[in-house]
Amino acid sequence: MDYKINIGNFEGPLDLLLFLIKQKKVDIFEINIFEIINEYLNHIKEMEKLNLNIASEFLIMAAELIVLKSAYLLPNPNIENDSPEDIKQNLINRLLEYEQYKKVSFKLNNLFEQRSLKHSKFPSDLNNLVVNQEQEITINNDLDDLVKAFNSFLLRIKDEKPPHIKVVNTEYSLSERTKEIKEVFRSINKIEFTELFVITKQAYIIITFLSILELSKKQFLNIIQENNFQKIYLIKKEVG
Amino acid sequence: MKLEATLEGLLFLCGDDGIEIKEIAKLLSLKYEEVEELIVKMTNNYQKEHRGLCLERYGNICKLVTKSEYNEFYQKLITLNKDKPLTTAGLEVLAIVAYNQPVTRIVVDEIRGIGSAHMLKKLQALELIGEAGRSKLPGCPILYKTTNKFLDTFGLKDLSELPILEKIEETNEKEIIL
Repeated sequence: MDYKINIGNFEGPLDLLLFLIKQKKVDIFEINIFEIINEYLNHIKEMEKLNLNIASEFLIMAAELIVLKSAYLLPNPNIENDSPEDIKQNLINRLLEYEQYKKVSFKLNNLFEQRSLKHSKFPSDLNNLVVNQEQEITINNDLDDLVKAFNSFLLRIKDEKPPHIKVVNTEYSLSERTKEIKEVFRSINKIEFTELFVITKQAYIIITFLSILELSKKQFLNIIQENNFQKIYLIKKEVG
Repeated sequence: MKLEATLEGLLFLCGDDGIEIKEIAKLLSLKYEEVEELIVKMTNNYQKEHRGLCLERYGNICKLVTKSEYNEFYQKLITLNKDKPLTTAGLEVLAIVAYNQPVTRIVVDEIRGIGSAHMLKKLQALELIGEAGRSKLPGCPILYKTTNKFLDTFGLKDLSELPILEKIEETNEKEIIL
């Protein structure tokens, strides 16, 4: 069984099942359900071996298939539960319904590509027309109106200027911040928690907090608070 | 015809935005049906060989677009912006909404067999689907439907132009599906 192709590239459990069925080159109504179930479960195992992130729905389907398989193997005389045949038919219906949409997706994609071949022009800037009209009106009005119109024009111009945006993206690394904090503890043994948050940037605050937790986990420092709502202190641990 | 000339100018100015039929009706002081007739007449004129543009209608929006047969010339002029097509997952979710609208996320999840919340949000951000009120079921989940932009993106005049969903029936002969 060659699992090298398409190992993790399925839209969902139904997609995977359809693929496995297609491989058999058999009508969906004629499949050997045991074979398909076993192949599905093997496929999931292969995905786990490759450490792929498996969506929970794949595992839910695996569980459902195992239930179906056991229903066949150990017939349950309890009439309340669905018979294995019913469960299998239900699954086949789901697969057929999903397949319809898979097929039509291709057709929609073709429509998309055809439409992409037709281009339209970027809408014209109609502001030019508007300004001319306003200027015509003010000529016949008082000085007040003229001043008002001019002021609103200035405001509009101001809005149209691109705002000063300075994008500064400083990256903070956990290891660097941890080193920095260790440096701080070289000369002192105890520091108040909030004193480590020197820069008020969100990224910096998060990294500092994570560093503190790391250092605490590594047994480098203790986090102490005497009473509720009192100051929190970080105390360097004695080595040894 | 002055009406045709006026509409042509309006459509040119609006470009990619397009104009809604009811807006045209207001601007030209015509009835909705009269606008529709005008559009059909103009569309037929544009389809003649010597015209390079088409009048397309997507839902209730009309716009002027270039004819695809001349694309190689446009490409020489500028590098055409090739939009990234939707992913398989996006198309599947979109298809399910298109054929079942109005539909809740739960139904989409059930048909796909996998969660679709993220994709639905993405499609909403792309304005290909929109909210169509809430279901009366417990929890009042949101109902989704496709938008005019969806029709535009896939070159459909209206929802009736959607490709037919093939129903796969049990047959007596063995045949290969897909």
